[in-house]
Amino acid sequence: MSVPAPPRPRVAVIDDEPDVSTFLQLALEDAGFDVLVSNTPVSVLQGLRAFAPHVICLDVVMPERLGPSLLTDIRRTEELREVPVVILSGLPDGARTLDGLDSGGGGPPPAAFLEKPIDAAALVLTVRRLLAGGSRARP
Amino acid sequence: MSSCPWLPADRTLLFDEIPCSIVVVDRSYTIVDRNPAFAAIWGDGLGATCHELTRGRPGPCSGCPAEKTFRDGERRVLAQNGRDRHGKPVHTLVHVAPVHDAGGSVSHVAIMSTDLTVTRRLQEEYQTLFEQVPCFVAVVDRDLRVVKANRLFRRVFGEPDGERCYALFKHRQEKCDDCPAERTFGDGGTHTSRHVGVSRAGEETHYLVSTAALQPGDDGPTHVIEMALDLTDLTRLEREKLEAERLAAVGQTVAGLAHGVKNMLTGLEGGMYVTSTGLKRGDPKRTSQGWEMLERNIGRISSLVKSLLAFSRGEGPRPSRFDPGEVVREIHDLFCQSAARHGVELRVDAGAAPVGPVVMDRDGLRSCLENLVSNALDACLVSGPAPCVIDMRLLERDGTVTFEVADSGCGMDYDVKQKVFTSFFSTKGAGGTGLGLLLTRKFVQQHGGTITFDSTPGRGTTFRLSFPRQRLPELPPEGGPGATDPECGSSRRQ
Repeated sequence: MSVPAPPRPRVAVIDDEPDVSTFLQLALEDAGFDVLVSNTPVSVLQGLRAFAPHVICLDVVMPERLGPSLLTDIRRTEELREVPVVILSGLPDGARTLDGLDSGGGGPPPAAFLEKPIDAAALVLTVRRLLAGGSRARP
Repeated sequence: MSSCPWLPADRTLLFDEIPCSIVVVDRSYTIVDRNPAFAAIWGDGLGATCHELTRGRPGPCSGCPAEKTFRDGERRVLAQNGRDRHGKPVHTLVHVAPVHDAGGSVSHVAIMSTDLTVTRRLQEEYQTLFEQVPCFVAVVDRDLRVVKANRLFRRVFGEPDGERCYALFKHRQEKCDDCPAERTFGDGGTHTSRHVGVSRAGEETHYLVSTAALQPGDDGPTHVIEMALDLTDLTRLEREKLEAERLAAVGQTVAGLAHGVKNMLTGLEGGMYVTSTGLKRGDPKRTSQGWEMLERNIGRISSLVKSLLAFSRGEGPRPSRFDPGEVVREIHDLFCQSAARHGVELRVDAGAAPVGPVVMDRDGLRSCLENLVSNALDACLVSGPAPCVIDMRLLERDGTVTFEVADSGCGMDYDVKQKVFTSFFSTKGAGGTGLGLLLTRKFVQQHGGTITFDSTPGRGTTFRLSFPRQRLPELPPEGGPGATDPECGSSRRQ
């Protein structure tokens, strides 16, 4: 009788660009994660609560639009409040983007920032570090 | 009525009624007569000396004009400042005239004083205003020579010294083409225009000058006053603001472009990863998926570059005659399935009356409507779970053909509205180049139309493209580029 495999860590990817989310999904699945993908931020909270991710990868899209408001919603959701969030963005100034998002919802600030174009190995490394309880990864 | 032995009888009435104070003193400066106007200011005064009465002095005043006239028999005119019997300052214009006795000697002196107190006050006020007003003020004659200039003018442009205004203001040798002073000399009216001058320190000076007629005569004004408001600092601030906005726009453009390109690069990165891992695993399905990602993102980069080039090179429209309703239906067919997949209803309202053929760039119109419907669909996708509807309307009223795309999506807030026509501004992240509405506006302008929109956050947005028929382009000559007229079988507009 075989020993059941330990549950795989769960990572949620929220990006409105299907090719990007497909890429991240495959890269993370290849690295051994269970991945939930959402291309539309609308109604994503319900799916996130059900999926109970260990890490969330969130595209900020444009800084004044969907990403920040969704981050605020995540921080206001009890089950998701403490989940580490990796910000994905094509905006060049990662540190400033993180600082600009710090105040959303009262929970912890984003744990890491990855600037696009995203390298699959860097993404996997970042997620693994966060799962291991690594310190906040500044760019 | 006074009895004036030194005056002819028929002038006594004038002595009493003239609105000036007149007093007559003898050689001891004793007042021997005065008219009612004098008495009204100084009291009766008869028998008193003038210096006692008017100055409270025991002896004659220093430089007393009466004393001089007693001595030389000459008339004299002078301005005097003093105080009335109530102690209030009085400014007077004094005429001193000798009164001769039968032997021809000066026995008395008549002193006539005109009260200029009010006039003087007005003069002082005017002078203060003229000198202190924070404008350049100059009075010019018909030859445009500056006969008077205020302090600020003198400080910035130098002493007039009879120079002409254009020489002082602009260091010019000839009068300005749009000289407002000359126009005021011509019609007596007020004229205003903006100018750039050069200060005496050689600095560029911007000012808004208004002119008004002074001393109007039968042949028009003899002088004109030029009042110029210094706009130099304001102009500098305007330039700085424009430059800051330009730099901000450049920064925003570059950031937007970089953002869009980076998303496409991520798509390429993903395509390479998926293709590569597919090949390594001998997984044709995955390899094919990666290849499609590569193709798609290369296509998007290509599309972005083409859009940039199309926008920058100012390519003109290629007009043809076609049925606009057909294009609307094509766009409906293009989007209706994907809209339905997202729970969005896409409807076409052809309007009560059919709209006849139009002469436009068909492909351009199609791109515009495609862009508007795509935006509307995106607005619906982020608007929440409530059912969303997109209505496409085509209507014609008073010779203007209007295409409307109305959605019940998320709407736009103030900030987004302000940026709608900004290059590379997109609310769609990697999904948009930020050029769509910019290109749409360019298309509309090329066809003599207008693009407008109404939007309310949470309620939706309506974009309208309106084209007055008389401003639509003509069909090109037969055989020329774009000379297609499938409906009429002719390249000419019917």
